[in-house]
Amino acid sequence: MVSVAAIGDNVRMMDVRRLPFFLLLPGLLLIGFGIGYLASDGDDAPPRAPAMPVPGANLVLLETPRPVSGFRLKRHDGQPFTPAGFQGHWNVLFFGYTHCPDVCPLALQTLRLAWQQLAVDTADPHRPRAWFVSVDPDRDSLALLEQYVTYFHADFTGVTGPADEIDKLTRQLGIVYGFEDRDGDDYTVNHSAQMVFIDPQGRMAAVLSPPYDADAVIRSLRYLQTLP
Amino acid sequence: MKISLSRLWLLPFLFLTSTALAAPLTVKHARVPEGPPVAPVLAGYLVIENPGARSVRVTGASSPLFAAVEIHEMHMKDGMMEMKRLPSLTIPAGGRVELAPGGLHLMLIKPSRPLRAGDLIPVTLKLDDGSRLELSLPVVARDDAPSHQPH
Repeated sequence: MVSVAAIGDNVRMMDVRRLPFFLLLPGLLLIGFGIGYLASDGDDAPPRAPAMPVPGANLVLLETPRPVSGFRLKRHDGQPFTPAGFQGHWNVLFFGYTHCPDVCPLALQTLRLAWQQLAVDTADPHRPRAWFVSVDPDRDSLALLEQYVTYFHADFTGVTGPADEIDKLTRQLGIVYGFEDRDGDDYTVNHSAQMVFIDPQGRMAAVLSPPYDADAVIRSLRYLQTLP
Repeated sequence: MKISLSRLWLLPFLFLTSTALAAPLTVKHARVPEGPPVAPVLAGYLVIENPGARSVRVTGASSPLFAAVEIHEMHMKDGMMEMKRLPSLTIPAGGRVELAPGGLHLMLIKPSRPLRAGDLIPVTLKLDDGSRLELSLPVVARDDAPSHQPH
């Protein structure tokens, strides 16, 4: 379903010379991971789109969008966040935590730049939504999440909740995370760095793997919006 | 005069010793992207070059503005971004080490006050020869900070 040539073309388009190898390698690994993940889907339906639909972006589509269901979290304003929250607009989800110095602020900054360039109109009920899901509820209160997330964009929403509810969501999306040296308040959280796209019907539609920039997010969203 | 003149001959040697000990490291592109005022941690990025003839190990770091400064490395494992604390960082003789987004960074932990673009963060690197390297990392607006270090 994904030819090696397609991957090669994609990598070449990313201007390898300017990318440090350590940034490129995870991307390549994730392409492999994504292919393995989707190949194990066991779906015989023909692909609805090319394997590498957005040049230069590691965007992998699900052959059949998969409904996301059965979790109950909270938004940073205290309102419940359930699968209904995805309805009616495109959604980009990123999973992280506020004690994250590098990957999470970079991802949120990438989304901020994308939202600026897309000139997202906050009055439009169909505007895309960006959700930052903290997998570290013990340290990330809703109040802290609100201040953290809205620093990047006033329309971004922080989300968290009990670990078992977080897991109901992450397991459906193929997101993994884990704690390291958790013997006090100073611990790190290892986590997937993909952005997950959920369609206006609340179905997981695609995964964007790092390295990504604002342009990759914009072109991924634009491409996904053209799909039936 | 109380100070024994007989000891004064030591003075130039003292000076020589301290210069000889100071590692010949140069630092470029030092910066800390601004974070949310509530951010409990920030990342410091820089390029350390060692034009000298022997490798130099950075054995620790500190800043008066942070509870702690650590050297961290990000890497991908089993589909997850993992962060690992490094006990030290070796700058090879004639080589360079780049601390850049997605790779190595100085982990600046628990700022004593919110830091804004334009602020300067003093950071001291402890080196294996006992000397110290005093740095000043500017806080830069995120929109101005390239996510990939130009080469």
